[in-house]
Amino acid sequence: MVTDLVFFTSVAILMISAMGVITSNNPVHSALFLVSCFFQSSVLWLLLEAEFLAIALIVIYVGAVMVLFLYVVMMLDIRKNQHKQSVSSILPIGIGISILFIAELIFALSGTNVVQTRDTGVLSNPNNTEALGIELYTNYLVEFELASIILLLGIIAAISLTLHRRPGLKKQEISQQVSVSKKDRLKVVQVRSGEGA
Amino acid sequence: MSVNDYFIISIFLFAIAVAGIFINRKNLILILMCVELILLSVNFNFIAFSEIYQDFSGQIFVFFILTVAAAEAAIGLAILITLFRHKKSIYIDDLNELKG
Amino acid sequence: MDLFLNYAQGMIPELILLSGLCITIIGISFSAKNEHFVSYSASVLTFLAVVMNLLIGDFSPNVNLINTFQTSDSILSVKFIAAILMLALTMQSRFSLSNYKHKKGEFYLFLQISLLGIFIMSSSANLLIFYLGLELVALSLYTLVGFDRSSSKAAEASMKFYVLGAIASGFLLYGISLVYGATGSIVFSRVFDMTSSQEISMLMIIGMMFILIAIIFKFGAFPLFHWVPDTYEGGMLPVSLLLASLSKVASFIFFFVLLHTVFRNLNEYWSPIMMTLGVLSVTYGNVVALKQSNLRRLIGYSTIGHVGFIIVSLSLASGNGVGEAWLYTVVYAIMSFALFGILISLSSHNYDIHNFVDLKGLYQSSPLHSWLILIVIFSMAGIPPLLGFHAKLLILQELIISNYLSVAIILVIASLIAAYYYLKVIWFVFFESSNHTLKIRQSASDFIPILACLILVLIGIFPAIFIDLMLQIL
Repeated sequence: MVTDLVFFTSVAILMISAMGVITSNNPVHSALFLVSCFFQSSVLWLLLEAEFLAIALIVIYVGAVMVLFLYVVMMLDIRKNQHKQSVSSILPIGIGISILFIAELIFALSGTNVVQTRDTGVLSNPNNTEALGIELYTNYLVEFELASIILLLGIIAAISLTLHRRPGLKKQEISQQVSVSKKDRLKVVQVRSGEGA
Repeated sequence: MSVNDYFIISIFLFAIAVAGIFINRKNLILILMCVELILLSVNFNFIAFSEIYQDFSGQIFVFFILTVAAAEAAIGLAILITLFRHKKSIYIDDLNELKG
Repeated sequence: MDLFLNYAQGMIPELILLSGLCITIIGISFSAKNEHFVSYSASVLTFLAVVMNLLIGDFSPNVNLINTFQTSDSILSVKFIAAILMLALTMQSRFSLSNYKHKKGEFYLFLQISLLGIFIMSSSANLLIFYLGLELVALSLYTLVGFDRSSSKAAEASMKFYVLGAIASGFLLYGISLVYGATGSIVFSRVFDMTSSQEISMLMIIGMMFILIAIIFKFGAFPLFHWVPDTYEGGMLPVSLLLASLSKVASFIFFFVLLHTVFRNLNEYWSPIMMTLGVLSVTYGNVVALKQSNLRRLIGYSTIGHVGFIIVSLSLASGNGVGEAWLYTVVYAIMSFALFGILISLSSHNYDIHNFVDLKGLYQSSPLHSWLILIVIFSMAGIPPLLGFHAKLLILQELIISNYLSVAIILVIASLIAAYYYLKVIWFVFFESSNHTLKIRQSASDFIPILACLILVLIGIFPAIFIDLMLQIL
């Protein structure tokens, strides 16, 4: 009973927020609506006992990705009414395609009998995080390592695309400091006695 | 509440996101947000099916989608910033240099 | 420890690539002035090591690691060709990048990462690792297109490519999730087993359709081709070359791995769709190319036409066209190396070509480059005895054998249309003169285009061994 109540409340807020994301004129409002979507999704995932992912969703999306979005919106200084948000002429096409999708997928799902194959599977482990970790570090080891490369790629790509080096800036050049050698800095001078001033 | 309701949520989220891409053909950052919504709906599918089949690979998949989406969003926003430096705008109508 | 050794045995090329990546990153961070040279030489050495390893390395022929990673002789051959192409691409990129003002060491890092992605895609044994490999390629391509930060065209092309690519990968994921819902597994072999049962669920078919959308996007075929001319025009020349050669290899692997191994039993559903889209790409690409005045957009649209040939051959339901499609992909990569190699070489002499008009008087400036362009263009148009002709001919033969005579006729007509704009290029190079000519001397940057043109001519005259070799791979 309580679960149902939580479920339907969350779904209602999720749908309203999702509509808010696509209809709002201000990107900041859209981003905040999206944050609300992620919170409600997290609640729904908790109801399906995917605890680790529910928390990860909040930590990664709300904590990192959406902050990045908001940061970019702030940095770009987009004026709200720079362009009139004219509801474009292809609005009917968009809605038509969406309805088509919904109809098609619901038809597909109703025509499929997805049956539970195992009664007590691995998911019955009370500690979702532990079970997920064991899977991740054994059967999905290669994928895990690849994910690290994708993150590395993300870092390098984002930095190399946006890093501006203005010339003439007085700042520390680590690579120059490291690659400095003795002969650049140290000059051995022969001082003869008696010739000094 | 049953697991099947989750598919309905996923379908509606997906449809809303696709409609959003069609409606908001003005603002690039909104399109990036719609892509995040699509990924959210995918995650709903995976978690629900994972529950039905009592199989972990769905949840593992979601874990990786979250990772890749973070990297993808970072690159996308970086490209957006370079674009903004050149055009001083993030509206699709201003992407008009390459035509033909 | 056993697990680790087990993995390492099958993944030696990937591990070499990864260690090369780490060395390159460290090299870039510790070199102050000659960053470009350090990064370049580290990448070339890495690619050489990978090529040598694939050539002489001792592989147990079939490795299958707990439904994650698999190798076989044909996969190793595909990797070998991809590595050679990447090595040549790196060597040619240097000449283009030396004109470029910003920091440029990272360029080669992205090349390495995209080759790693191609390797992972071709060796994947489940949908998850496949998706990760695909994203490695895609993310490095988005970045490379926008790599030239001083150009607003590059930023615009990269943004368009990124937005469309992100939407396509969202569709791909939705499709994968539906396939997972229909089968309860992401492992290729188990999904395949489920499709061979009598009853195929609606969910599976719709999931596969979503995946088809992503494949069409990655190929740049008919309805989802808009990024192709834009990225060709906006990106730097080596990036256009990458998109024309290795990105097509990656798309080929995408199509082959998913549709010909995983969804082979569903070919009655995907084959007609892909065949139609392939034919439409050939006609649309070649017809729209007719009215282009920008040379690089023209090459972009002609790519759409060439991709159509590959798709048509791949979508033969019997799977007989796969070898021919692979041959066409490799031959098209060689032709792009020649064509873009010439453009890179000319631009390194400050002879930038954007429009047809810029081709005027090229014959006076540099007869060598003009003759090379003649060879490539004739090969692309499919004029015998060049290699491009054999690639087209084999596909047409296969179509006629499989009773697709009408498709073959449409392809021939589209190729005739293509011949018109190809000849227009030749006309501008040889028969239009301009008042100011720039003397261009030969330099090291001509090596790879000359090599590619020699391959096109020599193998075109004696095609048997090469064609047999390529057809055997798949």
